[in-house]
Amino acid sequence: MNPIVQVEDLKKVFRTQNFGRVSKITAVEGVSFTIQRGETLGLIGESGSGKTTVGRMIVKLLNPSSGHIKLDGHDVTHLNEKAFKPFRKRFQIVFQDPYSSLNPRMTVLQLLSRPLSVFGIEKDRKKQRMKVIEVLHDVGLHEEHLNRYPHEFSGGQRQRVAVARALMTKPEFIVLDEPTSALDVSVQAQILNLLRQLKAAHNLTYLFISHDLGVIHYMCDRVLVMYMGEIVESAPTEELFTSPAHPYTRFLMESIPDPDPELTNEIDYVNKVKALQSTYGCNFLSRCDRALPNCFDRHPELVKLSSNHLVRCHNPLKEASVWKRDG
Amino acid sequence: MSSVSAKVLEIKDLQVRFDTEDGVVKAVEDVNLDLFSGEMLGVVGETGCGKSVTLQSVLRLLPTPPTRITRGQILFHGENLLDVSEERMNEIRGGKIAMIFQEPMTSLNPVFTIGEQMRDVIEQHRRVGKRKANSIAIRALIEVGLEDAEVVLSKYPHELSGGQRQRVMIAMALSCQPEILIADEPTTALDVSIQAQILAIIKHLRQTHNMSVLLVTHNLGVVAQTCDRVAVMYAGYVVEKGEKFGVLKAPLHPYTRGLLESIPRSRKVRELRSIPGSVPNLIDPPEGCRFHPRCSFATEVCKREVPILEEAKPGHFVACHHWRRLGY
Repeated sequence: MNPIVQVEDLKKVFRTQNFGRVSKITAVEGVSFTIQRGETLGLIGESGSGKTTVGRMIVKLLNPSSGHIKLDGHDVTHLNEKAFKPFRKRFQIVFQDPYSSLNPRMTVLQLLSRPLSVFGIEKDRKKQRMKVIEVLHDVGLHEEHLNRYPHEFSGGQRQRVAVARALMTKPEFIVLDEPTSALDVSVQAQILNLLRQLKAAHNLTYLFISHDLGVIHYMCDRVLVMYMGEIVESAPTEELFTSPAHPYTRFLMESIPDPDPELTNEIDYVNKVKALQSTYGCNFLSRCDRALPNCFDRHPELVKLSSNHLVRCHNPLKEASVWKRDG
Repeated sequence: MSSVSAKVLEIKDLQVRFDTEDGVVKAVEDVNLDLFSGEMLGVVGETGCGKSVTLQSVLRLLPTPPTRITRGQILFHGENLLDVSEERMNEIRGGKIAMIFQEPMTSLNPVFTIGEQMRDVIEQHRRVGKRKANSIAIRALIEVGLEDAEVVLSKYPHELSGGQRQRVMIAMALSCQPEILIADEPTTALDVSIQAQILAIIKHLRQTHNMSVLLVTHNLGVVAQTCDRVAVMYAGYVVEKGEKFGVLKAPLHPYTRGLLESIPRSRKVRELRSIPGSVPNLIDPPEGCRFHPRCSFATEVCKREVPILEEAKPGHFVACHHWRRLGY
């Protein structure tokens, strides 16, 4: 069977204009990966790493500057909006901020029946209403919520509405772009559990974008780590957390303050950042404490450590993990 | 933290109300917090728990109206900050007690350089000339890890990264040699790697300058890794407080326990424990214990009576009718 999503050598360059001066920003550079049916692929990175841009290109909210995107085996890279429409129904996205992603002037019923009309799934008002109620139950909301507006809900409920909207078209695949980072931790747990239940109930495949390693660990089967527009490491979740190979991955893990006061990472962060830089070398050079002469001269390729563990580093880590949260 | 060190700040029975069109928001109820010399106290809680309101009340930063501080005292070395003149308050604010905020971009003026803003503050509080103020600013910037301090001074806020801006804010706070630093979600807008740096800087400065730090955050990990004591707030009340090892390793309040269990850590967990429902509307909060509608241990008494904050173990306080039943 075809992988449900396949991206090859994806690149995105943004042009910005500042007082007439045009500058180019490369947000995504040569990103390739596949997503198999039924898996949850995690995409982790800090702000500006390009993770959101990748997610948006897959559902064609942005067009890549070069490279290819195949959805269920079909190359959709150059399809126009009309030709892409059947895919839009099957490939959905949920955004980070439920405050800005829901039209404040529409009720829940209007918000959720819209996709049914737009995609020609159901035109009959009564049947639309029944379908909406069915999906509302799926996400833990009720009939009484039908005629309310987004501002009448709490953040968590609003994100439930946003998830419900993505589910209306019975998609096979959903990009979840930081779906819980605007929520409080107790509510985040509710939404994460809901997303796991929905995935099992509807045979969904997820691309889960987050900057939170704990969330990624809980949700994902496999993880891609992005840094400055490139994938720097890719591995099954368990392996990534027990034996990270890229210094950046380990650095991210060490940076998370653990809620257990007995687990401490005493690192000298104040002096960690050095002023190393090189035009040709590794992007992570300026923050790396393992740099070799090679790292200044040659940009590292993404190489295989094992059949499913890739890393972009001249001097990958071999020590055991720093992730202490298991067990 | 030795128990003999002096109290530098005491928040006593603080009650805060906001008048809004929809009604009176009962934002803070009977909050009691002490801060000892050289100590780092974390105040944690979710959106709307009153943690920021409590700490902004200390420096009288909340606009009145709509804010009303209806009861309580805030004692700084015994002087009630709620009674002092605005002039006296200006001396304390930024001088003796400094504050840094979540989004440093909004606390810095975009049309002045970092140097102009830092020198202004230093001249005002330390009563020194321009040249002296400049050298104090440079020293402070170097201390927070901005090695090229002179370059930073010539820049405008938008020319710096988020992490650099927060360092500037800390340097500005530091340059007036405050006794207390209040940090209101100082790392929430930052990436985790930058967060780790900023927290390390705050910890380091607190030791070298013997500052007391009040840290407000929603992140229990931040508290666990930086603070000595922690106070957990929910819907306007302090529901649990004590040494961080006691509160985070053996929590007594069902809310604290729920919060800790909500943090995703591992894939091996089949299902995350979550707290059902959401934070109540404080215009019309639940009677009795404000947590009772979300609490799986709630009984009739919880619906009627507000639990008092009692000392369950030495130095470990909890406000729950049933903590004995739930104890570890």
